[in-house]
Amino acid sequence: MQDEDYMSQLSNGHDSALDTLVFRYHRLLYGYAYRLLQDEKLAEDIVQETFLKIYQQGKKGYVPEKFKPWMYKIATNSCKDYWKKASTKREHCTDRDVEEEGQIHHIIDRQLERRWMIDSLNQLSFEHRSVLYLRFYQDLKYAEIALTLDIPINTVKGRIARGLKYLEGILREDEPKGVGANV
Amino acid sequence: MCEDQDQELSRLEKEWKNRFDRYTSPQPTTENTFQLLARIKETDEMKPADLRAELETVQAAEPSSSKLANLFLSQWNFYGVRSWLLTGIVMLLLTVMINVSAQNEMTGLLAWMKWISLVMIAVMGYAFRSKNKGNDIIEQLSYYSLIHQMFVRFILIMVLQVVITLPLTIVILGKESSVLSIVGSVMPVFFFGVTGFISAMWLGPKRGVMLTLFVWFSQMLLDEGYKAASMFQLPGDEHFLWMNAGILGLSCLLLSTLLYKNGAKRDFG
Repeated sequence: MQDEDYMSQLSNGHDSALDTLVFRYHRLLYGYAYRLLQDEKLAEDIVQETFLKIYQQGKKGYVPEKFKPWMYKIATNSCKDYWKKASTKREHCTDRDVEEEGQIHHIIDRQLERRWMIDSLNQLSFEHRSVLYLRFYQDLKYAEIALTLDIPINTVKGRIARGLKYLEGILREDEPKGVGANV
Repeated sequence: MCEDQDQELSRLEKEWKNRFDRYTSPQPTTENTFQLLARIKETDEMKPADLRAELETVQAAEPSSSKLANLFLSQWNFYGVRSWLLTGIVMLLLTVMINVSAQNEMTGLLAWMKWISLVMIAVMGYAFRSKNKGNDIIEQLSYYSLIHQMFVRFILIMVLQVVITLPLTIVILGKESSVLSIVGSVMPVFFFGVTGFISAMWLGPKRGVMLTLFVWFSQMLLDEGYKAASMFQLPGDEHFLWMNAGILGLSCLLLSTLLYKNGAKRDFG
């Protein structure tokens, strides 16, 4: 059964339809929120908030045309709201990242590469990061990303291409002090 | 985006696919998912689905006296204490001016009745003024129907006008004041209040004020040309009692049209 069918069931009063949607998307949505926020607790909150909105909208009788982009849109907006509310906290997170960087010497290569990738991705703007996450980790089609972010498909493609080039530039720039430098 | 750019994008995506896979995030367990589901349903139960419905349920459970008190309080706040103070100051100034310039108590009372009834029309015009967006929202959000709110606003105006009028009449009349003279001075104020209110209810605020002003000017003309038909009568006048009884009857008749307008929705329940 399609996601939209479960939303229809929810709108008809079958609360159990939510269970299927949560089981289907909990991990994916958590991964998306975690990558955007870099904080497990915050990601949990965003995921809960997103599913709560889906549940409430479903009970009110709303059935989206395309569930997945709608769900990611709610999560993306929740993340944006969080950033708006807590711009000062972000600075704190950056400090913590710097502290953690000191421990990088003691972890294995693969984790190091992962950390390096995270740091590089975090240097991208939200516009580029969100399209890359939606494309590479959430496996959304261009049209679905366009619906999620309310932008035209060509803008999605442009952002992915530019995002990857920026990322390449960041990684290349950091290469001398990157993996090799830390081992 | 042209075909070449699309191909370039596909190439880039293939090239990067593996590098992105290295960046994994922590994954919730099945137990975490069950806990999340429980939390969502629990949070939803805690939050009222519709705050307005929730508020209306609470208000509906209140006793009638409390509902009525809240209705009056809301309209008092709507009109604002400053507006009442200003009305009182205008009436006091008018009284002082008439008191100083009048030849005797009775001519003073007559002038006072005419000008205070004009003040009454101005007050009515202000209380039922054209709605702005903010008032419109307040009225829409209110638990009470618009007709109830308007009626309560009318009652407030009437009661306060009469309360202010009584001592001022005594100032004008001095030793000449009597029950009849007080009734005679209050009655035109009451009549123009009712006319202002009812015409605003039926025709809207602007046309209501225009009609009431028209009635007031026609009364002024009658008072000059054909005194017997004027509602501004003094206690010693031949038609004083009949005219005041007529004004009272007409006012009651006008007010009863409100019941017709409101249909059967007269209780506050």
